[in-house]
Parts: sequence; C-alpha cells; structure tokens
Amino acid sequence: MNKILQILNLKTYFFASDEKTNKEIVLKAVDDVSLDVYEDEILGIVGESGSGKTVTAQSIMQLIPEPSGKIMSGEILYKGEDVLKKKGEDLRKIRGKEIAYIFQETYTSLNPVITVEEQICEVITTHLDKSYEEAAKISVELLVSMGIKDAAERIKDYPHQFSGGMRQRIALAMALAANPSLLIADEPTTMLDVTIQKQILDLLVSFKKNKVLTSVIFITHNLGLVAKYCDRVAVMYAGKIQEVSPVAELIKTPLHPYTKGLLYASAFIKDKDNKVYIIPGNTPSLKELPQGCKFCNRCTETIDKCFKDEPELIEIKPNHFVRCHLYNNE
Amino acid sequence: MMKQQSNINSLFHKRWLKFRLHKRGYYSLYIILICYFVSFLLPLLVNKDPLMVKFNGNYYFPVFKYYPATTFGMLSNGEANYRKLKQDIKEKDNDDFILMPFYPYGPNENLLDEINTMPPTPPTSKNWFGTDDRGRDVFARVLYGFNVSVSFGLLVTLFSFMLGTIAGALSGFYGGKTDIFFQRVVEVWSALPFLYVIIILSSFITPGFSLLTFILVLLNWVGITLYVRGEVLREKAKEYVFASYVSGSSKFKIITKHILPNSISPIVTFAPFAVVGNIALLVALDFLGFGLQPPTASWGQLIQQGMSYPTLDRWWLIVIPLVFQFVTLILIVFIGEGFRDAFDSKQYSRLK
Repeated sequence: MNKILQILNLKTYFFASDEKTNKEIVLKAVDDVSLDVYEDEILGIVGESGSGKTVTAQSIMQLIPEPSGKIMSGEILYKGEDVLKKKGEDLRKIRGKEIAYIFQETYTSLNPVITVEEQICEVITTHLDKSYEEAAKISVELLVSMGIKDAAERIKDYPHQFSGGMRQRIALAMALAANPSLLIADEPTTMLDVTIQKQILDLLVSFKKNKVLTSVIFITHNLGLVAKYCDRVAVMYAGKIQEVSPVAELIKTPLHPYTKGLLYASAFIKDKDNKVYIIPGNTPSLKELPQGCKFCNRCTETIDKCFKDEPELIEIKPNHFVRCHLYNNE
Repeated sequence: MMKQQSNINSLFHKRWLKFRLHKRGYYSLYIILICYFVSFLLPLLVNKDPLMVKFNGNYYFPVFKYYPATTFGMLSNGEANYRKLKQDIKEKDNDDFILMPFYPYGPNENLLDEINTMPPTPPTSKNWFGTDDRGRDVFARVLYGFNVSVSFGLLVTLFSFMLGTIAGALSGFYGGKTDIFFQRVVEVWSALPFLYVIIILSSFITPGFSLLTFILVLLNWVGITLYVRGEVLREKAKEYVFASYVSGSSKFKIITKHILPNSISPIVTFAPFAVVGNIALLVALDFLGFGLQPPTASWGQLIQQGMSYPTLDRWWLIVIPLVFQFVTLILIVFIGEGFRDAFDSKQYSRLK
C-alpha cells in the first residue's frame, strides 16, 4: 500500500519560563515522532490528554502558534512533498484542498455572524473553480449527504440555530467540501453524546468509502471507538509513540504496559478486589519527565533498565512496533 | 410546525431587535436621522434665496443659480435682496410672484440694513432667535450649525474609527513585532497634548472644514485601536478562525470576513459616544476660536459672541446654541445607550 503521509522524526517543542528559577524551559510536546499513514486506511492516534496527539496533528497543518511553539525539526511528506517547507500560497493550496481538519469544539468551530452556506461556499470557491451559485448547490448536496433534513432551507441559517451534533456535521461538510484526500479529525466527537458520536463516525466512514477521501487520521482517547472504526492505531505517551499496530492485533495482544493499562481501563476489566483497573499516577507534566522510559514511574512491569535508558521503537511482529525494554531481547 | 424564517436570525438582526426594545435609543435614532437628513434640505427651507421667481413674465430659480440684482430691476450691485423684491412685487400687483423659503433669512446674510440698530439684536417675530454681532440671523445659523456639527462629528468618528480599526486589527492579528510597533505608536500618539497641537496648528494654518476633520482624525484614531486589538486577540484564538485557516482561506479574508465582523461590538458601542465627544470638541474649539473659520455657521462661535460681552445681556446667543447642543448630544447619548444594551451579552448571563 502507498503511503499518503509520512511523518519523519518530527519534533515540536513549546517554550515556557519556569516560575521559580525564571529560566526558559523546553517542553517537548512531540519528541521524535515518525508515523506513516497509508492510503485507504483510518489511523487512530490514542493517548491521554497532553500526550502530544493534537500537537502532532497541528504540526501537519502548521498550526503551531509561534513564538511559544516551534517545529524544531523533522519532515512531513504528503504524497512525497514536504509540507513543512510550504509557505503562503502553496500552503493554502494544501490546507482544505488536500488535507482537511476538523476540531473538537463544536460550539466555536463555526463563525457566528455568517450563514452556514457562506462558510461552506468559502471553502469551495477558494479551492475549486466554481461560482458562488454552483458552490451553493454543492453545499446543499453535501449537507444532504451529511444527513441534515431540509438542507436547502437550513443552509441559510446561522450556526447558533443548530445543535452540537448538527454543527459537527456542518464542520465535517466544510472540511470535505473541497474533496481532500486526507482528513485529520481531532477528537471530533468528544463533545457529543454517544448516539451522535456513532452517527457522525458512521458518516465519516461512509464518506471515506464513496469519495476521493482516502485516509483519515482519527485522534481520540477512546479505545473503544478506535477498535470499531480504525484500521491501525498509534499509542502516544509523553510526546512519543509507544506502540503502533493493526487494531485487531493491538486489542488482542497489547504489548506496551501503557497500552495494556489503557485497554483494561476502557474495557472496565476488574481486578481481584473487584475494582476497575486504572493506570496508577497522573499524566506527567512535560516539565518533569522521568529519565529513561517516560512511562517508568507509572509502569507496573518495570525492570532496572527502564529507569536508565529510553527504549527504542522496534518492530516485534510485522507491522507491530513497540517502545519497551521488556521486548528488547538483545 | 412553524416554518424556519431564514436570515431573521442573524446576530446583527437580533441586536437590532434588541435595540428597538430600547425605546429611548430607538426614537432618538429616528429623530436624529430625520433632523440630519432635513438639515441637508435647509437651503430650501431656511434661506434668503427664493425657490422661484416670476418677474416680468420670466421664471428664475435663485436657489440654484445666481442672478445679479440688476436682473430684477434693482440698482444695487451684487446679489438681489429678495425680501425687498417680494414687497415690490406685492405693490406692483401683476401676475409676477416670488416663492420664498419657509424662513426667509440665510445663515451668512448680513441684516444690518433691516434691523436698524447695533447688532446683536434680541429675538423678534421676524428674526426668531435674534441676530448675532454681525447682524446675521441666529435661527438660520443654529440650524445650519446643526448640520455642520453632526457632519463633523460623524466624519471624524468614521475616519478615525476606520484608521483605528485597521491599526488595531493588524496589531492584534499579526502580534509580535507589528504589535509592539503599533502599541508604541499608540502610546506616543496618545501622549500628544491634543488641544495644544490644534492651537499651534491653527495659528499658522487656518483650518477649513475638511482640514480640521483631517487633523482631528489624525489625533483621534488611537482611541479605538486598543479595543479593536483586544477583540481581535480574543477572536483570532477561536476555533472558527483555525477552521478557516485549515480550509485554506487567505489572511485578508480571515481578517475581513471572520475576525472583524466578530469584533464589531466595541466599534459600534463606542461610535455614538465618540460622535458626542467630537461635536462637543468642535463647539469647544469654535468657542476658543481655533475651530472652523468664519463665516461657517457654528454653535461655538455664537456662544463666544454671547460670552464676550461682560453681562449676560446677549443671553440668546448663549442659551440657544447651548440648548441645541444639549438636545443633540443627549439624543446621541441615548442612541449610544441603546447600542450598548443591544450589544451587551450580560443580560443573558445574569444568575439569580
């Protein structure tokens, strides 16, 4: 299968000043991440809050707010071209036309003062050689395919007249308006209730089957959704990828202790004392990461080596990578 | 089920409906707008030139065209005195006629021949509000002064807000060095001693209406900049702005179509109060003699004439322009109140 997107050694750092010492500290939000996205797949990226999922996705779109954050090094090859080198006009041709992005926040992701029609048409007229009237027709069709009733009339409404789920459908329609090949969905359903979640994701998948949209990067912290919708999954922790694997295999045989923890916690597996499993400790602050393996202070299966050296991401089985000393038998 | 009414629900429409509920502001807006539009028709209502004259079988339209006095068989040089002509025509009693405006005195017309005493003269049935110290009709002057003052207030506000909005938007949107640059300019600019600068400038250039507008815009634009900058800073971090970034919109479009329409609240709410400020400023400058040059009709000059006399004997020169100014300003303040309430979201977030 062809790679549509290749992330190579991406490092995105944020800079802050320490309150006590007043020295500048570097927060390695994304630290040496390499990840491939293949054509015709849905790649899930899972991890707790602050694990670097969103920053990875925003780096692809060059949405890192400077000067507080910066993409330090790395390449992001989209269809063989480095998108990080693109600026201005070239970048705008990629954004929306090739790679689209939808956000978690449904209440602020649409402009409150202009109609839904104008917002969708803006995307279409920016990228496709269409008049506003043609664009308006396409917008209505899009909204119909998104399952919005009376789309022809409702398209003249303003965002605040729609419910959260409807707005996410509109945001999705907007993202897909210019027929992008890759969609980055950054926790698109976290704000919605469970039944709407399913509807939106089913829509997304059906869209992937019917249209030019070939690949989706689906960012979430819900392993259940990953299991249902994704083909492959990457588990992130503290800015690093800890495990990458096809979904079925990851669910069946998780290797990394962190993945296991996530899986047990989300499957409500109970331990001897009849308590739901939880990963001990909190998500570490990027300011005070442990030496060695970043997960060592919360891990239940540590060996001496874990506290000294950072493990490498190695391929244990075909297409199954893990960053853990337990599987490194050299 | 009720049919969805489209476009009635735009945010601005909602704010307009809310503004209409604020009765005082709503009616004030109507009164001011009507008065202002009527004030452009003043040459047809309050003027020394008749709308139409039929003289010796020929028709003349002196409002639109200048005719020398000799056209109407008068001996004087220059312009005809049409009020006198009217009496002449009456005495002649043929089919000639003259159609004078509702109030037949012009704002810049010298009435020394008719009042027969030393000007200023107090109100009479002919000159309703009396005359000023050059024998000009005060009623005509305060009405024309209304047009001048409101036009001036609106223009200064419009242009200074335009400049300030552009500066604030650039400063907030680009941030970094652009922001630092604009903020320092604003700080230096706002430290200029406003009145002194105008006094100094007026001492070697005599500002006309457009030049004075220009000077005041240059000195005034910084006020709104900080508010717009703040709004833009807040709006640009919202997700719909990110959404338009990632859908490939240009920065120009993002600023003009997405950020600015959402940052309009301070601009609209401050505008009426800025108009009030600018009108008061014009009156003050005219009063001090640094404003518009005579013979432009202005409230400040009338007040100054009234005040220059040691006693308050010339009360009509003080009271009448002040009453006009007071009523105008308070109506605009009511409009401002209405706008402020309409744009205030607090009403919805009150907890009990």
